[in-house]
Amino acid sequence: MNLVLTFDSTHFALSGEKKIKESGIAVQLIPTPRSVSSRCGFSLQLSDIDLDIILDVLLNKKINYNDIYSKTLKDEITYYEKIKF
Amino acid sequence: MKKLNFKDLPCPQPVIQTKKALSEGGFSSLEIIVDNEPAKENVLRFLKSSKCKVEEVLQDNNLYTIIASVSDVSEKKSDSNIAEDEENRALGKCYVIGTESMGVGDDKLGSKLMSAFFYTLSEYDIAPKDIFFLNGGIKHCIEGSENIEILSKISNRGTEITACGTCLDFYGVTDKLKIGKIGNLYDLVSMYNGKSDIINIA
Repeated sequence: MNLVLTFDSTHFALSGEKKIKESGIAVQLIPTPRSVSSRCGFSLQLSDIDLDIILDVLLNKKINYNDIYSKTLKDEITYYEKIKF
Repeated sequence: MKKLNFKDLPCPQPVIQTKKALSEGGFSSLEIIVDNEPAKENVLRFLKSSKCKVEEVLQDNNLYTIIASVSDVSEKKSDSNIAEDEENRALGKCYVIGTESMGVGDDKLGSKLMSAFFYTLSEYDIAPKDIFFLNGGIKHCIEGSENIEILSKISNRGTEITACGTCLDFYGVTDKLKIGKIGNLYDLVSMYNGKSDIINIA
């Protein structure tokens, strides 16, 4: 699935990007989607990733993230859904 | 961005209020919050039938946030996707990227902003017509750049990517070019004299 990770600050997002890359996982820095937050910040997008794998990395690398959203494209509309644990 | 919060508002009020806001106008994008699935569906249907392009829908528990842009372009609907792509390409702008970093201040932040900007270009409906990289900007196109993949994605949508040959030579990286063709200032001048709008990013 495609996931978007949000963070409380730009610094957390950049440090998260670095740590995820170090784990060998492809990650794309993106502007935080407008529907997710009106504060303009960075988020991280992970494409075709297993939720369990990334949760493991987030925990082991002590990544300070805020929320995880699933991202799907349907009829040219991007749908984000907050993943609950 | 115009914000409309329809939490606790019974049907069909969200659609009526959206319609009212659209007829008043004065904004290019719209954020609408509703608190139930039928209201979301009704508003989406209404937006589609109006001159709006729904871009994002966020679901967080029972709360839905809809982001839509108000434009005249979406009115035209062509039969084939190819024709639509061609049409969009004709509307695309030209970008001149002259630095590694976006804006003035912190270079590390600037290069991250540039990456996020390329990503946003790659996702946007209208692909750029051209992107011309020069001076420090060519570093986005060479081996080791973290933006190669995203630039390939942009290029695959029909955008012409050009890197300044003089600049590649100056930095000694001509053989490391990973994306785009080599061009010179003639290409830049013909771009400046073309029909598309030019946006300089430094």
